[in-house]
Amino acid sequence: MKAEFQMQLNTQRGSLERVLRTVRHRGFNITALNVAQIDTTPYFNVSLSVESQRPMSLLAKQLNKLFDVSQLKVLEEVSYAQTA
Amino acid sequence: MNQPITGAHYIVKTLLSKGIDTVFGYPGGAIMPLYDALYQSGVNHILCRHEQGAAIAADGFARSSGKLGVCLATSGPGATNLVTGLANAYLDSVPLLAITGQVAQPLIGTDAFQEVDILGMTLPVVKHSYLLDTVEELPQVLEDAITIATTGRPGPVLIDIPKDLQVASFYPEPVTNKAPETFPVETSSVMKAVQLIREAKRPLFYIGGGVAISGAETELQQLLDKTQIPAVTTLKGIGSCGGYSHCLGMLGMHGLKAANYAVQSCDLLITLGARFDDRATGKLEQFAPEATVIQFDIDPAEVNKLKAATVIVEGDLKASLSNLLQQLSSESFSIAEWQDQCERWQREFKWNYQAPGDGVYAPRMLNNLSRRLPVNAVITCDVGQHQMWVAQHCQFNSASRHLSSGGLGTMGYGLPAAIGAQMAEPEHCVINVCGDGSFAMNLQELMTLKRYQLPVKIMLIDNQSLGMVRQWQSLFFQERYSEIDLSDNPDFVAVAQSFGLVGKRITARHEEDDAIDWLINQSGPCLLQVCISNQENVWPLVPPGASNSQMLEGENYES
Repeated sequence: MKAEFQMQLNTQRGSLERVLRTVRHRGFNITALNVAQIDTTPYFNVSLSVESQRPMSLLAKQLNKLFDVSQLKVLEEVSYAQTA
Repeated sequence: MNQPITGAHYIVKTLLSKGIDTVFGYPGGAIMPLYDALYQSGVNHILCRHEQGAAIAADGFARSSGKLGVCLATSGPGATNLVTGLANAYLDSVPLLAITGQVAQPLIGTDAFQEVDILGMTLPVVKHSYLLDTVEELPQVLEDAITIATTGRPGPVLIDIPKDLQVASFYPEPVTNKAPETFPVETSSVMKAVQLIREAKRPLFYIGGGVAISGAETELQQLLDKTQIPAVTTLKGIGSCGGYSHCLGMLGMHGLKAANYAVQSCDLLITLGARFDDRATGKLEQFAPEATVIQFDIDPAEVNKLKAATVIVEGDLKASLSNLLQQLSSESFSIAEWQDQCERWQREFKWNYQAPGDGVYAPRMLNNLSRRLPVNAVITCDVGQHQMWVAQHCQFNSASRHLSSGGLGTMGYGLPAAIGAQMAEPEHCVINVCGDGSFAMNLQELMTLKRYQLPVKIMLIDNQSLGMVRQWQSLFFQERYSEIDLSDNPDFVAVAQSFGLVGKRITARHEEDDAIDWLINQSGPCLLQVCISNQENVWPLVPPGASNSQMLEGENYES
C-alpha cells in the first residue's frame, strides 16, 4: 500500500524526529518527504509519502497521537495491485 | 506584584501548588540548582540509589495511588539511567513526570561533560517531551506536561532543562490551562454493543489494565453483578473484578486453563481496556476464533490494531461502562448453559496445591500469603516465574494492589516499585515478591529501604537460576542451559542484614506457614528467602506461536 500524509507540525524541538521515528518503528517506509515552515508561524507543513504492507490507518492513528501533529490528512491510498 | 523567581524555584513552587509533595531522584551536576531549590522546600525527596530505581519508584507510587509520579535526574548517565523506567511507564500507561538537568545551553551539542541528547534518546518511550529553550516557557511547559501525563491514556512525559535556565530569573506569566482531551461516550456504539450482548449465547468479558486506569472498577463490578457474564483478565487487569465468582482469572501464555478455554469457546468477546498483547492472545489468528469482538478503549490507535472489532466504543471507560450498565439495566440474559460450562472448567482445573515432596511449593506459599494478607495490601513483582505464580495464585480486590511490569517486563521492577507504593501508602502492607535474578538488578535500593525505614517485606523466591529462561531452554532449546545458573548467589539473608534489614531463610514445606506469619508481622524492612527447587516450572504454558488452546501442562497441575 502507498499513501501520502499531510500535516501541520509544531516546530518544537524534536517534532520532526518524532514523526519520522513513528513512521519507521510502525513499519512504514518513506518514499518522499517535504518539510517547510509556514511563513513566520511556529508550524511546518509536512508532506510524507510512505509505503508498507501494513494498513495506512495504523500509521494515521499513531501520527494523530503526537501532540505536535495537527490537521492530519491521508491524501491517497492505493494498493500495489492497482498501480501495477 | 509579580516577583522574579529562578527556574529551579519555580519548578518546586509548582510541584507544591499541584499537591505533589513526594518525588524520587538522584542529584548530580546539571540538576544541582533544582536540588538547591528542593532543600528545605517542603517537597519530600526520596533519594534512590540509582536513577532507574527512582523512575520505577515513581511508577510504583503512581500505580498504587493513582497520582502523578515524579522523578528527577541529572544529565548524561543520570538521564540515561531513567530510560528503562520511562519505557516501563510508557508500555503500562503510567502517569510519570521526569525532570532531567541538561548541560548549559552554550554547551549543548559540544559533547560536554555528562551531555547526552536525552530528548532524542527517549522519543520512543515517552508520551511527550520537551527541551526547554527559554525559562519563560517553563510555566506553560510544566502545566502542559502534567496535563498530558495524567489525562487520556496516561504516560510518561520528560522535561529536559538546561542548567543555565534553572538558575535564570524571570517573571512568570499566567499559564493557559490546557483543556484536557475529552472523550464523550458514543451512545450509539454502546447501543450496538448492547444488541450483540443481548444476542450472545457465550459472552465473555476480556478485561485489561485500562479499566483500573480510568477508575472504572466500580462500574465494571456493577456490570458484572448485573450481567453475571463470565470474565477473564490480562496481567494488568488482575484485581479489577474484585471477588466476582465468574471471573476465571488471567488468560494467555501462563493463563489459567479455564480462562483460556473460555476465550477459545466464547461467541462474543467484550474487550474492556485491553490491547490483544501477544502474551495474552497466543497465535492471534486462532485467538477467540468463534467470537464477535466488541472493543472499548480510550486510545483509537489500539482499536483494530491487531484484532478486528465489530463494534468499537472509543472513549473513557468509566463513562462508557456507566452508559453500558444503564442500557443493560432492564435486560436479562439466558446464558445459564455457558455459565455452567465456565464453572465446570473452574472446578475441573482448580489448582492442586498438594505438590509431592518436602520442598517449598511456591504456588501454594503465594496462595497462602495472599489469603493471609491484610485488606489493601500491595504486592509488587519482578519478572519471571515468580511473577506468573503471583498472577495465578494471589487474589486482589483492585488492580492497584498488584504492581507488575506488564508491557516491558522489567526485571528489577519490584523493589523500587514497592518503595514507591509504600511512600504512597505508609499505612498499608507492601510486599515485594521477587526472584533471585530480578532481586539483584536493583538490589542497591535496599539502602533506600533502610534510610527511610520503609517496612517493605521482600519475599525472595530463590531457585538459584534464571528460572523462566531455564524453563524455555528446557522445553524449546533441547535443555541447552545457557547462562541461567545462579548457584553462586551470595547469602541473601546476610546481604539483607548487611543493609540493615532483618532476614530469614526457609527451605522446607513445613516452614511455609510460620514464615508467612513472620513476614507479615515484621514491623520494619525485612527479607524472607524462600529456597525452591530449580526444576519447578510455570504451568500451564502456551508455546510460542501456538493457540491458547494448546497449553502445555506440568505433572503437578491437575488435582
